[in-house]
Parts: sequence; structure tokens; C-alpha cells
Amino acid sequence: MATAITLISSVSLSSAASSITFSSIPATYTDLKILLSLRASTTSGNSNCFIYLNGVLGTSYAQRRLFGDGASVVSDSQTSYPWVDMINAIPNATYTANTFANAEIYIPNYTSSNYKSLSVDFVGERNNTTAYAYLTAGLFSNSSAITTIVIDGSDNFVTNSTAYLYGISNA
Amino acid sequence: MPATYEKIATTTLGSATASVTFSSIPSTYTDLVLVAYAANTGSDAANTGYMQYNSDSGNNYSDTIVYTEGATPTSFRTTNSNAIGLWTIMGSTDSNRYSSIVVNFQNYSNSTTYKTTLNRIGTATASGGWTNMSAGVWRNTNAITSILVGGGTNWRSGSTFTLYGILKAA
Repeated sequence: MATAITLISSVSLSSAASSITFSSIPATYTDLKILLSLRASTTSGNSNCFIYLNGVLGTSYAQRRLFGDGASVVSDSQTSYPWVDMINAIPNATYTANTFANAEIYIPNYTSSNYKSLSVDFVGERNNTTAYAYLTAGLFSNSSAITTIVIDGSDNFVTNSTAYLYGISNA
Repeated sequence: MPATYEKIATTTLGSATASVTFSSIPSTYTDLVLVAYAANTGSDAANTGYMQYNSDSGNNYSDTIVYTEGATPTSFRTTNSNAIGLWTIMGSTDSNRYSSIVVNFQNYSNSTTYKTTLNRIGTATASGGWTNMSAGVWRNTNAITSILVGGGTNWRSGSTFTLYGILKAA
């Protein structure tokens, strides 16, 4: 029996980059799964990370987030939003060297003519007093098949950051 | 060489249906993953689906949930329930929107331990939505051979359910 999961594309940064893009995603799978290991290069503040689809930036997204920072747990939501946030504080140069954030993003039925749901698990442990774990439900109010995914950030991602895009088929 | 991640069965509903059952699940895998892109015909608030295994509708299930639908996250648990809840899924307010549901069943075929699942459900809507993670346990040592996924009300047409098997490396 054929495997149901196939690596579509992978990126391992050999130099700092402001974003990671998966383009020309084939429509031959049922679901998409993305695994990320990311660290930012900035030396100050928190580094945000977000995802947008098919090049669409505008008001097509909504999200409900549940996250903890090591001391408290918070919930919020955004509507008519330009993207889906993944985490507001990935490890960067301010924090312990060699610490990377981990994430899994699941996009079921990505070729459907219905709107697209995203589930995002994102953790940014950085060996510091404050670190974050996020569980996010995202919505892309667009009926087109997803052909492009951009993982973007407020700062550059460092060398050795990785991103893997898998296709999962129920055929 | 056997594939590590295989589809066992899949169903896409052509009409509203009360439940979907995966039966005759082989014991040849290590873990199972249930993936659904699904919504039901109920109202949106506190809208839940559920799972039962091996046709057991007795009060042999419990779960612990952390979830949010507003500014204040909430956690609660159920004990001695007749099913594991799938909290909170998309209802009927928007025909374009479906929840993302991923359930992991680790070590589902052993005959010595109770069976635990990790359940993650995401439902973002134009007004916010819900995100939930829960752990469920079935107090039974039998291998899981069937999974019923109930919609609470009916599952909406277009909902898709797929069961995958994961095989550990030889």
C-alpha cells in the first residue's frame, strides 16, 4: 500500500531570510502539514511569526488563539485580519543560543471550494523566564485552492531554520 | 517495505449523517490518526461531536479539555461519560466553514492498557471561533477495532473523515 504522506518540499536556510515560501503546491493531496523549526536574528524585542496563503494579505483571515507564557493563560481572537499569527515571540538573538521554536500547521481539505481551516501548534521555549505555547485556530475566507504558503516574520529567520511541507492523501 | 503512514479508510458525506464509523480497523499499525474537515447541523455555541470505540456506549470514557471561545480560557473535565467529546465544532451558521479536527491514538492495539487520545480542534469564524485541545481516555484494555464519530446533531454534507495508520520503523 502506498504511503499517505509525501514530502512536497523542504527548506533549510543556508543564510538568514525574511520569509520562507512554498509555491506551486500541487492539488493532488487531501491535506497539507507543515513542520517548522525557526529562530530569529534580531537582538531586541520579540519576534513575531505569521502565515499567509496564495499571496493574499488583506482582511481574509480570522483566528482564535489560546496561549500560555509560563505564568498565565490567555485567549484572544482577531477578525478581518491580514494573516494568521503563529507566535509572538520565537527565540531570537536576545535569548539562549541554539534555541529554536517548533511548530506544526495542519490544513485539511486545502483544495476545497470552501473556506480553509488551519490548526497551528507553536511552542517557543527559549530558556528564559517568559516563553510561549500557542494553540491557534485559523480561517482563510477564500474558496480557491491553496497553491502558495508564506511563512513570514517580523525579523529574519536565522541559518539552519527549517520548514517541511508534506502532502497527505486519502486517495 | 510497508509504508509508515497509510490511509485505512475515508468518507466524504454526500448528505447530512448522524455518525461515521470506521470498523474492522487492523491491528497492524502502531498508532492511528483521525483527520476530519467537518461541521454539523447544530447551532454554533458549545457545539460538540463525540467518539465511541468498539460499539461501547457505556460510561467508560473521560476527558479533560482546555479551550477558549472568548477572552477567558477554560478547562473542565468529564468523567464516567458515554463518549469522548469533540469540543467545539463548527455548526450550521456558515456553509463555507468547517472545523479542523486531528485526533492521535497512540498504541491503540495493545491489550494491556487503557486507550488515550490527544484531540485538537480548531474552528475560526468571522466572530472569533474556538480552539480546543483535550485528552480522552477509554477505560478498556481491548484493542480499538472500530471508531464511531458522532456529530451530536447530524454531520453536514461535505464533511470528510479519514483514518490513517502509522507504522513504527521495523
